[in-house]
Amino acid sequence: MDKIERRSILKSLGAISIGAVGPALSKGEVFAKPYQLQKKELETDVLVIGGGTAGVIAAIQAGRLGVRTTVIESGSQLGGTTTTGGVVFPGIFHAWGKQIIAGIGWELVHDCVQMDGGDFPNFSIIPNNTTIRHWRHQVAVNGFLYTLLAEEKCKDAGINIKYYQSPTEVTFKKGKWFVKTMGKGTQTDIICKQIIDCTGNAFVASLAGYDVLREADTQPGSLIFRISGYDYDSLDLDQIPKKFHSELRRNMIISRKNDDPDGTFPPNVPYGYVYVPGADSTTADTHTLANMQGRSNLLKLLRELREQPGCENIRIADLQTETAVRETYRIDGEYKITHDDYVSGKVFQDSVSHSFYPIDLHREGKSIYQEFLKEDVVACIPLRALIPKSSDNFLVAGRCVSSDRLANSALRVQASCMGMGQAAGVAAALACKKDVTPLKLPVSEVQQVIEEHGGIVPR
Amino acid sequence: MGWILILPSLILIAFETFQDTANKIKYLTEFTIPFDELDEFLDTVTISDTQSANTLYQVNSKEGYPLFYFQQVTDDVCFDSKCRPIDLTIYWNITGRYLGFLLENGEFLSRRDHDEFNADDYQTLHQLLADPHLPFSDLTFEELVNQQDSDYENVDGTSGATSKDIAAYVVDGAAYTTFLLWKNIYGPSQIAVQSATKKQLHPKLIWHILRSPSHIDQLWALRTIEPDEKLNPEIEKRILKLIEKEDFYVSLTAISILSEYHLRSEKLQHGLFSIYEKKPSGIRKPILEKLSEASSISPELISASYLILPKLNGTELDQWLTLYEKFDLTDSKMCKEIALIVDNPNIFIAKKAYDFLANAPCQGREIEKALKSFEVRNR
Ligand SMILES: Cc1cc2nc3c(=O)[nH]c(=O)nc-3n(C[C@H](O)[C@H](O)[C@H](O)COP(=O)(O)OP(=O)(O)OC[C@H]3O[C@@H](n4cnc5c(N)ncnc54)[C@H](O)[C@@H]3O)c2cc1C
Repeated sequence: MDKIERRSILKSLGAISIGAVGPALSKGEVFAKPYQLQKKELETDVLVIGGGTAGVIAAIQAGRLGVRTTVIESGSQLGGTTTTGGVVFPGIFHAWGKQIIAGIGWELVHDCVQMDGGDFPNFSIIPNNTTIRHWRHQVAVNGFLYTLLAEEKCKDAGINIKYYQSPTEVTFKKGKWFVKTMGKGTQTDIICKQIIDCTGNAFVASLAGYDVLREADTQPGSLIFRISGYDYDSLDLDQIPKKFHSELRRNMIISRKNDDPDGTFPPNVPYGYVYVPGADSTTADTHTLANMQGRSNLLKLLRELREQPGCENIRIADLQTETAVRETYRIDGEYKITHDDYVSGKVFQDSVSHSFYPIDLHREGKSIYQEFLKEDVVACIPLRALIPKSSDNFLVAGRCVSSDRLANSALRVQASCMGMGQAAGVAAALACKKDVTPLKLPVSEVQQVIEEHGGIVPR
Repeated sequence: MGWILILPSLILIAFETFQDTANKIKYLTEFTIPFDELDEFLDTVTISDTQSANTLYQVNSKEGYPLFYFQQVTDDVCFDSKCRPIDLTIYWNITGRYLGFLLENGEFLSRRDHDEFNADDYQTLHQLLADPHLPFSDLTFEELVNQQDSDYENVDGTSGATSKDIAAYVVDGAAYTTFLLWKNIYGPSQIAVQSATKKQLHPKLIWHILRSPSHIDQLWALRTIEPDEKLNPEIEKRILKLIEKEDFYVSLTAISILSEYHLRSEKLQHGLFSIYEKKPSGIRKPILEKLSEASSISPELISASYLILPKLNGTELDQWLTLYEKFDLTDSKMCKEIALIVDNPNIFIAKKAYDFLANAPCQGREIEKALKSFEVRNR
């Protein structure tokens, strides 16, 4: 900038800051105008709120069916608990030697493992619930890559992604949803035909006035980390209290690639974690609390570990940015999947996805209640469990599916969330095209479209 | 490896494996690798390169095919400084899969308090030993015992063995015996078994193993297939059969072992294409990815693929278009078929077709019309 120009800019700046004794501007600097909140309007067919495990799949599916689809995500990346939470072991896609959940979720997991040069577990090994446990069939993915691929697939499906946004108001008028969202420096008024709540907390369902349920005592969350600076094999474990052994050992196992040609899952938890009792990610306040509690629990643990012989140089090597949350709210749906339905593998006339996991309830972070499915049993999810009672143009997918607590403890796993995501994406897109509420859709058509897109429908 | 003729009594034991042996304690799993043309035992040899102190024997057919392996395990199991020798024979099939064990007349196994095993204990032991995935592989016995209550914990989906679970991995009161035998079965002896078979492998034997109903055998044989060796037609057929099977992981593995060299066979390419149409998406995609590894692709396969294009979803269509692009294939029939798809009411599908046509050397009135109408629709 030459002298004259610079002088004239300073002069004009001086004119707008009369009376202020401002600092002198350095070369290239200008004063910005006071920020004005940007108000935007957006019209879309399907609005997916929450770009996590289920939301990503729901959005891609709706996009691939050719309807205008928008995702709003309060965080900075896609994948939710799978990526931001650090739970990089989606499962379970296979049961009793067969694939039971496929479609877009599997496509993403498959591409991720393949591009990362990883291995799949040997799905032919059938869990027997004693020596061969269900978790062998979980697939270890690279969370960083998962985020990148999820975003690429969304872009390919034409999805409009909006990070750092959260809804503040949702109103249903004359067959359309009017959603106000607040984000960093932006406020958007969105008009859409169908909403899919994939927040994991049934937050939008609640905001819309539908009933949501919660247990008096919820399962704890976990803050996931990795530590380095010690050599497990040379530790004198007799000198270290037992309660720390697992912390030190599980952290040493990296699961992405192993020498076993069957790519079996590591024998124990391949990351460190601290429990966070009562962790709730529903609002900024509750999630802040869960994050802070997790971080302070971790600091305490780190300090204690550094007191142990051979652990003096322990340092933190990796830490998730959020506490991963297991259980908050779930919807009160047109159908509530019960524990009995789950363990008996009840097939519904409107089944839209399988689910396969043991009943797996973490009790106060102290013990886990587990109940395995009997041979050849695979659970099913009916479309009605994704629809809040008496709702219009509204679906959910993910851990907030309508279910009793025990059924939910199994339904919440990632492959099941992905299966629900795909089903909700199909139902929302078809409902847009037919201009009906999802409950009014011909179930057989929903099922057929899921299958056309690679999903597996329980029959 | 050293090949030594062994004592007649051991040959006898080998024979007895397949006969009713009264007074002997014998637990065997199904043999699974069919023997039709290999049914005469002739030679038994020692493999002396195992690190185990106990000699491993290979039983061969008349034609020199390995049939199975066995090893006598003699060791001491001690409790409270009282020791009992253990003396049993372990059997492996030719892929290293555990087949069973045999205790000679009068031999028995016992628990910590010297109680003799009952039938249930033997059955449990046999079942445990048949599981190659017990959490023992990286542990010493002391580590196994010491980790109670500490090392193995539960997080969703990654729960390992808790102290309670360790009990599920051993015969009650006979943890060391279970551990010792398991380590024997899945340790250096198993590697020796596998490498001995590998040295004698030839197409007919691979084909035999691929016919086994056991996925362990099938996977093992698939993984021995060399990427730079021509596939014998029978093996090629068998591999296609395995891909077609319902077992997802076997299908996936069978696809993955195929190499560019194997894919020079048009028959194999056609076989893969015909399976593609029957399989769900989880297998369809790997098939297409595999076909795109070929150095050239069968023109008949490509022509046949035009017929399925209208039935595909957008992602599958995209995968085929990527394959056409990779092989630089465009002919007027292909262009016309894809031009029809540009009209698809689903914009995601239509755009895939549009993008392909816009970049491919496709010409003609229909093509231009299709491109134009897409542009008008999506202005
Ligand atoms: C510690 C832990 C271990 C687990 N272990 C396993 C395992 O090994 N295998 C397995 O399969 N499953 C496991 N699970 C369960 C599984 O990971 C989760 O239940 C599942 O990922 C939940 O998926 P979701 O789509 O419902 O929610 P999430 O993946 O959490 O996605 C919700 C998304 O919504 C966003 N969001 C929330 N509120 C708003 C808002 N107001 N506005 C905009 N966006 C919002 C979030 O930022 C997030 O991206 C585990 C869970 C935990 C917590």
